[in-house]
Amino acid sequence: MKRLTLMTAVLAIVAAPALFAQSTLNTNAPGPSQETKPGQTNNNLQNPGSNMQGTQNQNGTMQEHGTVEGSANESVTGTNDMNNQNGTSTGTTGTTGTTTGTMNNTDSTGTTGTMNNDTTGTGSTDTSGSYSGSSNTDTTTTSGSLPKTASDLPTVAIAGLLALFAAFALRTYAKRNA
Amino acid sequence: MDSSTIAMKRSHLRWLERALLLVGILCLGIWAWSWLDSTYFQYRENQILDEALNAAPAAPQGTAAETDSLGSFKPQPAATPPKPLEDGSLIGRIEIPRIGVSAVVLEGVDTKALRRGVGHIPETARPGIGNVGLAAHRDSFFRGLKDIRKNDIIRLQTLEGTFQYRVDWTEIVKPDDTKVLADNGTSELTLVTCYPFYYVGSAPKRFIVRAQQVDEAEARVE
Repeated sequence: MKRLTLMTAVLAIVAAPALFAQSTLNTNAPGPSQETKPGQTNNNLQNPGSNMQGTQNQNGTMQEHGTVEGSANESVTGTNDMNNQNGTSTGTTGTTGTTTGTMNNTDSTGTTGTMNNDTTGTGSTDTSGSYSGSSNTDTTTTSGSLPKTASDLPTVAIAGLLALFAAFALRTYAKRNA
Repeated sequence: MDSSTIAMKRSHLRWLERALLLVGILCLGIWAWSWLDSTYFQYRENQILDEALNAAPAAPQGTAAETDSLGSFKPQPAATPPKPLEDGSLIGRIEIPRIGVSAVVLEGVDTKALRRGVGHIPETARPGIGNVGLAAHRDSFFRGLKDIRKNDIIRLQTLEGTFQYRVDWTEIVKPDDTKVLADNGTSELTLVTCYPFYYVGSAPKRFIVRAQQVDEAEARVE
């Protein structure tokens, strides 16, 4: 009976801190901005401060049909420092014809897309041209999961304390039964 | 029970007691060594960083990145991409004055880097040019994040300049929810640590803090 009481007491002493440490009651709420939807700012929606919504995932096909009149001859080359967009656009002027364009969009997220622009002209002037460019959004990809930020040290420390407590309990028990 | 049986039992108990004592001392020794190593490393790297900051010419204060939309596209000369850093190399220091967080930031999020400091997630941007991802243990450098609030100011001091961020939101996500590290085209800071904060073993979730870059004057007002 004595042994049982002693073992129960030791077990309770060493297990209580560990149980308390893992209890959800012991974890503070992470602040007032933790609500699920505090003014639509704390959820999985796009960052409200961003004006780049939807620009990272372009994938699909778009076709346009219509009449184009006028002439176009433009060439634009530029680099946007913010999201590293490079592009070149050229165009020619003709009298009749069909316009076909292809835009390939590739960025660091592996997003690829093709846009076919078919325009059949019925007027006196048609435009043909092509656009090719690439978009690089710097650093979007990660290696599949967020970093493991759980250290083993607390577990090691608790194991050490448990071992010391158990050793102390054994010594006490042995002395009492000596 | 005869005397020989009792003696054998006592002998077994004595050996068990010694073994437990040895295991306890070993475990606590590992913990103490890790703590001392981390503390000394922080002290040394802080000194190195301070010396480098004092020796370097006054770096410009980081300002919020321009957020031109594509509609107002302005051709600009391409910026020289920063050289990739080796794992464990010193990047700077993160400070959150209100909750008392201050730690050096190292490149990489391997075990050693996270034991010694705050790790910069390699796939994310460098300070001032996108979404900067930093990770640290919830039971060491990022323990204070449990008390972080919206509008808290985070200061990231690097050799390239000092960048101020204001906390926008916090969120608890699953470990595979990497979209929090996605670059939205604005200058941001994302802090990652494990959740719950008090949990023995591998925590099942991640606690995310997202902050937007602000200029120094705006940070002072806050």
